[in-house]
Amino acid sequence: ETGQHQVDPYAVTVSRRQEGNPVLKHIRNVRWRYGDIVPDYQMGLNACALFLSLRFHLLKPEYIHGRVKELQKAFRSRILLCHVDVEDVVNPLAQVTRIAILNDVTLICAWSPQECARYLETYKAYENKPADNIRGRTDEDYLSRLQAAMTCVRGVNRTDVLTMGATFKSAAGIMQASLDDLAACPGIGPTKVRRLHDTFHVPFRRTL
Amino acid sequence: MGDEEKAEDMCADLLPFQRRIIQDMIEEDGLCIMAAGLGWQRILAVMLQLQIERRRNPKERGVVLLLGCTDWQRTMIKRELHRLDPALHRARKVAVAPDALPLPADANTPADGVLTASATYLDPGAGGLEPEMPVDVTNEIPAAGRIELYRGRACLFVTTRILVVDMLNSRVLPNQIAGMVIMNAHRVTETSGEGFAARLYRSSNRKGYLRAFSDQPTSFSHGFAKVEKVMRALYIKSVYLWPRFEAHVKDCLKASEEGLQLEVIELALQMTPAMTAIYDAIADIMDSCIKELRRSNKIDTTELSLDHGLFKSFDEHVRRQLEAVWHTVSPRTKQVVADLKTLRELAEYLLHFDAVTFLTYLETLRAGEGISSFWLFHDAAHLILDEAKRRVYEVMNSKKASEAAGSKRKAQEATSGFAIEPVLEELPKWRMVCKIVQELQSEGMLTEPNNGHVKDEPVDLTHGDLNAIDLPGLPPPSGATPSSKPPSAPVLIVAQEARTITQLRDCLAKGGPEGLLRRLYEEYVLRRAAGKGKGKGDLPRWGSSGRAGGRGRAARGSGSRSKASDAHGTGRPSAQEDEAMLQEAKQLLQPNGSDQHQMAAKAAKKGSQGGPSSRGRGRGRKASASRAESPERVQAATGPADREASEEEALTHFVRFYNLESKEEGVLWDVKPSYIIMYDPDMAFIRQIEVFKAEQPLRPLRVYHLHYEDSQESDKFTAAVSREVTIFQDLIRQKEFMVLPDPIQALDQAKKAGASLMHPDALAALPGVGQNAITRRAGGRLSNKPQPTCIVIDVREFMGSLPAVLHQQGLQVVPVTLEVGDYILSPDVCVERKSLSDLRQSFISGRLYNQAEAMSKYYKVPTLLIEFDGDKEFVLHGPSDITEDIKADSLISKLVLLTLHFPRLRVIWSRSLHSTADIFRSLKTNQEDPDALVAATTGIPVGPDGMPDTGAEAVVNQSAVDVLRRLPGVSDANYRGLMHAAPSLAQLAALSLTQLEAAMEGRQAAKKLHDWLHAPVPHLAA
Repeated sequence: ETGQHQVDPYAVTVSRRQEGNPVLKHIRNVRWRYGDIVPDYQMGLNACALFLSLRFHLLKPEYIHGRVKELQKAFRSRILLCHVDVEDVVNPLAQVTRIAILNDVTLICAWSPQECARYLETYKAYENKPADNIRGRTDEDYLSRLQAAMTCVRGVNRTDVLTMGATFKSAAGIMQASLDDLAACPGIGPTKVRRLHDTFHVPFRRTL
Repeated sequence: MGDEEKAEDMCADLLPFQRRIIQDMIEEDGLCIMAAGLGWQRILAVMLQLQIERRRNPKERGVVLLLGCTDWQRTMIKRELHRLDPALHRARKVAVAPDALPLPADANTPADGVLTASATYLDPGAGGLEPEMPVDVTNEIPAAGRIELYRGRACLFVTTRILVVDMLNSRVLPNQIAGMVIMNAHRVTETSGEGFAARLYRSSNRKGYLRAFSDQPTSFSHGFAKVEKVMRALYIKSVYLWPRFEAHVKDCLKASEEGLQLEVIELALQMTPAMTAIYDAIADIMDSCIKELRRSNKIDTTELSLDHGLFKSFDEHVRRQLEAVWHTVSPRTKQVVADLKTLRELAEYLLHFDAVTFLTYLETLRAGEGISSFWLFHDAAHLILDEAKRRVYEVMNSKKASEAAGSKRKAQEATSGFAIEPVLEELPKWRMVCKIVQELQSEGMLTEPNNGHVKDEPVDLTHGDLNAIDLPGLPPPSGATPSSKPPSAPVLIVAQEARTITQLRDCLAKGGPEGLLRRLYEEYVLRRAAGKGKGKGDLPRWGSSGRAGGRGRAARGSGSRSKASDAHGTGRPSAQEDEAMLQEAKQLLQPNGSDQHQMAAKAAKKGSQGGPSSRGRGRGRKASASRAESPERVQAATGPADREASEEEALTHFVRFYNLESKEEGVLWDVKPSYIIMYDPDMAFIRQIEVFKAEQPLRPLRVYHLHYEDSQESDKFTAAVSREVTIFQDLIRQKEFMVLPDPIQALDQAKKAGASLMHPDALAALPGVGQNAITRRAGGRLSNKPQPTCIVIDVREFMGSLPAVLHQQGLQVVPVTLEVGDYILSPDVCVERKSLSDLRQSFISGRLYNQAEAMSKYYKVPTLLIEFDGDKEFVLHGPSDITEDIKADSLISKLVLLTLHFPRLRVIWSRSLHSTADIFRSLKTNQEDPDALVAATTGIPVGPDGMPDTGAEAVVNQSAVDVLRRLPGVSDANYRGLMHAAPSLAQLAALSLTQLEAAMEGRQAAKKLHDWLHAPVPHLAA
């Protein structure tokens, strides 16, 4: 309860435990302040993070387990921010992964204090952001859309899209182009021609 | 005994060294690496034929499977089989209809593939087998049909993924397989599909054979001890190397005493001055790219010189060097590496494309490359553009233009004071091809020998030897035709690209090169004018920033070359030029034949006068005097007869064309040419010609080998040959010192190792984890249960390596078609696997969002596995990717957004395939095994009968679905309906607005989609 009062809704709240963590000096895009909280960082009302350096984990493998346990279910998003700062990551990372999954925590790996800080900043800044940016919603203008659609076909690049656009005049024209027509486009090799043609002409799904 | 005779019989057609290869392979399983073009397809066909013969005996069992073939390789083997035994063809034709035909790859559309496939498997083929052409086993044949095929057929082509899935599901048992033949062995690794299949096969079948082929020796030079790795993965003990310089091969391909020498006439052409200028400019820019790379200090540039710069391997070499540190490479360096590739391609296209196509491509490229492009802002880039333009047209002061064109009308109409004058530079090779064909024709080589046309000219050897094939009693395979009939197509023109072939055909046809260029030019002008007419003002948004930057830089560029005071000095069309272009288009649209005719005539004049000068250089193998002078004759012979339309019309009569892209290498045997014009040099095809010649020693054969002097083309050719030689020498040395464990022993050892890895206590030893597990076990509830070991895996995942690794580590893998997730570890844990590039791509397409949504809906622990490449650095991005501000398109931002929207989503960051396997196993401790059936039906909408609408295995065209979901108006709610209404994207594009409305259940969305699909693409270039 004491923690909740000290939480500034417009900043990342940082636990005193984190004092001296080099990550702090890289948090620049959002404000941050110390507060009396259970997790190490609190990014808004619904998200919190624990910080773990893998090097530290190798020294005290029990530490993170206890921290995760005391976190309980107070937050919707519970992040375990893991600074990958050892050479041989395989074993320690496997352990941390297992702890995270079994205790309902989302593991995020970062390779530098800057990167750790960027995650914290972004969690805070994106607190209320809709998911449009990751739902394949692209800009409305014609060419961006055409490019977005056509580059779903592996290997097809912007120049290819422009070439096809100029040759076939419309999106429908591109989709209905024959193998020979596609092959006649300069710069589009036989492999890409084949892939494009398959994409347009092979049925979406077929039940056997 | 009988078998051996038959084998002898079938081998009769082969060259001695090819027979040796087969004998070696039959004696002891092995990996056969042969030089390109030595006829692997014939060797494989004979081996399959032997198997088909064997299975004729009802007592013989077992199927032979061919893995790792590409489409064209399959087609080629089928063609060969058909050539060996036309009866095969007939038998198949009765059993099944069209699929039996050795179709060219493009005719074999998947749509009819399914029909034929289902027709095929129905014939039982029990007992003594009728000889049949092998069928392709793919995911389009239902499981029951596949079981039937494995049981009943002698030979099958199998998709590796399908075979692995079928072996794991016991649809085919290892001891049902008499042998496996693996093509493209250079692609095999321990965890590749082929490696996995070999392991499954060998683990319980030690008798059947396993043979592997590769005709790409150069691929074995990448990486350390590649050959040994491949052999180990396939449990093969021997390797057979067949370079071109091997004694047997050499002997075979050398002309026999009584036979005729293969004549090779090398024709070195000169590029036109404009081409040379462009070529030099490209080299210039590449040079600065290399300097730029050198500045980055990340790369060892000692080996990077311009001489190598134009080879394909160059940018790959750079990439390979940078791969390990790719994340630390600055965006600028990355751009330079990308530019190097673009430039290398451009240099290639310069030689392959005609002037108009090259210009079109260049303009598209300029519109497409963003502001980040390095090369576009190089001074020389403008030179490239200017020169490319000058090869097509020139902007002239209309006065001058009218003088030049001799057309008053033009001067009157030109309002802007500028006019477009077509230049239309021909490719030097075009003219040369025409000349060669004309010469052959005028020599009477291409007319019927018996129509009284006896050559009085004592031409050269070839003439006298033509009679040699008329000798009676020659064996038919020599391809000799009775003298009463002319050879059907004595000239074969070989080029790399299909486009080149189409154009060459036009060159030889009526209009000649001028007509072709004229047509291309008109199309070009109209396209440009159409773009300008409409799109004035509203330039497309994308690239507009690049354009602005371009202009700024361009201005600077032109400043430095202030002498180029022309309006088009900047490489960007001026207003006048646009105006003039519109004018030209208007004129073209007027039905005015005389004008066109004039143009063509003018262009023709240019072509013959100031056009490309070609300098021939005879370098026949025998270098006889007559050979050396032959190019000169070529030139002389073409003078006056040149423009006689009737003759040109006939030019294509005895000419056949072949493009190397189509990969129908049997063409030599089908066409049986006497003259071959190699328009583009190609090592493998030259070898094919040698093999073809060696098979018919008495047949005369002349090869014209065309290449541009001082271009990368000829260098590339010689470099390819010498590279192959060096690599073979390396391989021979490696072979001497190769130490390989007995494959079977290795297999047993691996089995044991896998078993010990499986032991659960190994995990308990981990601190933290172990304690937890021990505490739980103290409860005693789980101790009696057998350790769960099974993972349900989506069949599509079997294209990758992870299932093989999981299996190797002793987990049971169950392949099933999954709607939700890729790996199901337990009833609760569902994993979606993404490699780094997949991750980026599926964030962009929105697919990951949909997948996370589906996983969260059906599973308690939805998990995203981010899989890093074990060979590369373990980082998400480099320090330079972390910018000052939070950027919406960075991977960090997207991951944050994803985890915020799916708070239950767990993330696994895996260093490598093997660590993924370890993590999977640790997650499975104390968890129940998943149920394959439940997993397979999860997320599938319930059908009308209340049962999940599984419909067996559905084949999904994923990229089509991705494209569909990104079209305007298409949403999560309506895309399924659309997929029902239109089976494919092509058909979707044909739907009417009303049909779309019905399918999408929404007017607005339907209209949006319909409008977008049919909206004209705005003009981009220039």
